[in-house]
Amino acid sequence: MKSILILNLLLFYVFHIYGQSTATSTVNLTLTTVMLMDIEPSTPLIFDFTAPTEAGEPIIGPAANLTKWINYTSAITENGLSRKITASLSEIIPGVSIKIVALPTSGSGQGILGIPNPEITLNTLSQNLLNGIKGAFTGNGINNGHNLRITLITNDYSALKTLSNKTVMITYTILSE
Amino acid sequence: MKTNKSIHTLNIEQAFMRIIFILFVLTLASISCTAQILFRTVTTSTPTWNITPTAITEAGNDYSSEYSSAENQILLNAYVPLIGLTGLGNGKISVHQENSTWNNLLTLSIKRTGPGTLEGICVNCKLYGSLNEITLTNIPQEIFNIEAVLSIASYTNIPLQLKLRGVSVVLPVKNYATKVIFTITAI
Repeated sequence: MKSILILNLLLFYVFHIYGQSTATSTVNLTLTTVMLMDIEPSTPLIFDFTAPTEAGEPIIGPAANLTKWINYTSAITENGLSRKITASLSEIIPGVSIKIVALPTSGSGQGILGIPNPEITLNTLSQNLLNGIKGAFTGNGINNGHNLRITLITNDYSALKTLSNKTVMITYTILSE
Repeated sequence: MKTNKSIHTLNIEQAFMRIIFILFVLTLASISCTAQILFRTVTTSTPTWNITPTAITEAGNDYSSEYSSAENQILLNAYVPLIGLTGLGNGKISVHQENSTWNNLLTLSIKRTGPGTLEGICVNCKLYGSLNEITLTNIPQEIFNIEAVLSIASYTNIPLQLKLRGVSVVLPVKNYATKVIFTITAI
């Protein structure tokens, strides 16, 4: 009887193996962290102040520039820290303020995009331009992402000096918050 | 004498039981050897399809949303007996998805890209069904059928292609995995 029992168990196993009615294949997708940012177009910005033609009038500042766009791609883990974009200036031009603000996104972007901060006056310390970027992409090139409005204004006439081809650099950085 | 008769009867009973047992063993052994031809089976030895999107090099861009496997990514073997234990010789192969770590924005689809190879001689054996793409869900959907009319139908290397859509940086960073499960049942 014991032999019959063992045989039955063996046959159950054999039937189970041969009689299987399912087969499985596996699909794996690996997504890794991404943190990329650039400014489009990459050409330099040129601002010129215009001398007044009438005695007693102030110098005429350049119009606000709206040609630059911030593009970024960000991929984070489920509970990962969001990202921010900061801006700083290589050096202060005496008597002149450079102001910048990132406008709300436009273009082909998707995901949890950055929230613009109010306009900031650039200095040599990093200040937040955008916060709260999570898994998102803005689209590439101009008209995608955040349009930057950059303005130059005089802040101290007594500090103004004649300058020609003075170059300063704005540094943008994307990092975890 | 009475005792001897009793022993004799016992010997006959034992011999009878032994014969029954041997016949039982032979029958079951025979069934076990032929078990394969009594059941519908579906198998695959296909390796895992691993997708690693090409790294993004330009800020603002997303991953390519759609990925296609090789046309013969999955090679399926399906076997239909002439008269199975659960009905006549036919089989419906269904497919569904069983997620372990997945995201609803990801969609996986499958399509048959060829007829496979019919093993042996099988008159009027048929493998039929749409060659259109099927979007996988967790509910089994018919992908093709096999009929064995005058013989046992054994099709091997039935090629299947997978497509994955919805890949994006918007998805949380992690390793996603899902199982594609094929089931063969009666039509």
